[in-house]
Amino acid sequence: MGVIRTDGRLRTPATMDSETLSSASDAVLVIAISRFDEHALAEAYRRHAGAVFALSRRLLNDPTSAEEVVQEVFLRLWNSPDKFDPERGALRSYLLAQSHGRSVDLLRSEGARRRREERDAHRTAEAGYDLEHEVLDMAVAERVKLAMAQLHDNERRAIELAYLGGHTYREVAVMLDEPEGTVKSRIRAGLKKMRGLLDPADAEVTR
Amino acid sequence: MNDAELSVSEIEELLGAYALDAVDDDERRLVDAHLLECPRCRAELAGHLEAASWMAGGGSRAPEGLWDRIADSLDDHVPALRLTVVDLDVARQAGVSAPAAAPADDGRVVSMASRSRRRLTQTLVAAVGVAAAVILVLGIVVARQENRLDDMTREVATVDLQRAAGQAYADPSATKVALAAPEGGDTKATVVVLPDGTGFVLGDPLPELPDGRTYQLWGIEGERVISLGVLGSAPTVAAFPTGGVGFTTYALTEEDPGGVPQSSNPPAAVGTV
Repeated sequence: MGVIRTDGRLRTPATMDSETLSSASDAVLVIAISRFDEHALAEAYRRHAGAVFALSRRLLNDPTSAEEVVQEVFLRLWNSPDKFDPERGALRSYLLAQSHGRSVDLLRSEGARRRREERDAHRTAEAGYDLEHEVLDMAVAERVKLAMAQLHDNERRAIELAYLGGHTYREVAVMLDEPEGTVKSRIRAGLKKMRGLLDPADAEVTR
Repeated sequence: MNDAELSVSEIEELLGAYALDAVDDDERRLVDAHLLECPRCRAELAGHLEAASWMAGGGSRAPEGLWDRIADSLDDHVPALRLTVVDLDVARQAGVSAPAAAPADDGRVVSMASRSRRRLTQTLVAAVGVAAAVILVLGIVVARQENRLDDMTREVATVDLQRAAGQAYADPSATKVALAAPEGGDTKATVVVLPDGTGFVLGDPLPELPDGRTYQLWGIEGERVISLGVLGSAPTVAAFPTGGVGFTTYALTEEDPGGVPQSSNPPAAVGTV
């Protein structure tokens, strides 16, 4: 045991060696992070930062802003590990939800909204914007693609527009010219179906 | 929009869109409130978030140098206190023993985040080495039974927690806050915070709670309300870390065992610095 006091802060030396860290579950990592183990935070970063960054960059179409989101997400994990509620899912899901939420906040700010409209208009004009292809362009595990392919088209499009486009379900309803309630239900039904098609233990991208 | 406008089934119908950040702020608040009291919806939401995370894919590598910037900025962020509740929840999820709070032989609980244990160890070791100046005689011996307490702490904790608290109470440089019922009345507990940030709460005494209930201590700074520990049903003395945060108010609430991340109960006792 040891305690190093610097500048009024308590810092504890790493409590797990690198081999232990690399084999530790995410839940154990969070416990170590809650005890100010920077190595544990580094391990969580190593496992999940790539996905967190990719999702934010996809939404914001701006690597610099996406880096800031990644920084915010991991600092939040460091400062408030209690915000991670294991009952609401895995650490990876939590970090990605944080990344998505923050990115959407930025996206919906006034300036960003204009940029998105310009971006969407540009893409539509340039290449016949196809969200399905956007999904396929991402580093999605093959089985996830297959699961998404089994969704009804209207379910998949609603989910893609909401999740990867950063739109509210009301906006999606307008875009697809469908009732809001229908879109809401399709998003829920589609996510449930995906969940049923993909066993979490088998998903390559989960830990 | 208000609560009356959405039934439970309507809130459930929103869960998918909620998981994708595709609801408006009013709807988000309604779902947030519902999730606090509905485990079934929490479970469904966890599934939706998992499915969404698969869509996000595995990603590539984060940009070079980004981790270094994060690591550097850790030194600029004074970490928040760690909540007992978190340790319990995460530990439960991980299938490991709960380190933060465990019932003592007499059924009472003294709980501290792990960092407070380390900090307390320092205090206690110091206390052993210094001739006792003033020792408060406390009515009930507090036992501590924490799986991860290091040996040194375990040896000295039971007796010397009281001694350390007594010395802290007698320290003229310590901040002392009397906690009483919000409507007034006798002091129920006293919070003592040493200049190094180590805090103690002393029951004066606190009324014993019925089985299945526990006191939880909170520190309030501005708009931040932070759990400082779950104290058990009949605490007489416990230690907690302030982490250098200048709390202006301390409060005790009555909660279910294990404590809560956020309390919706009125304080049983409150005191302002």
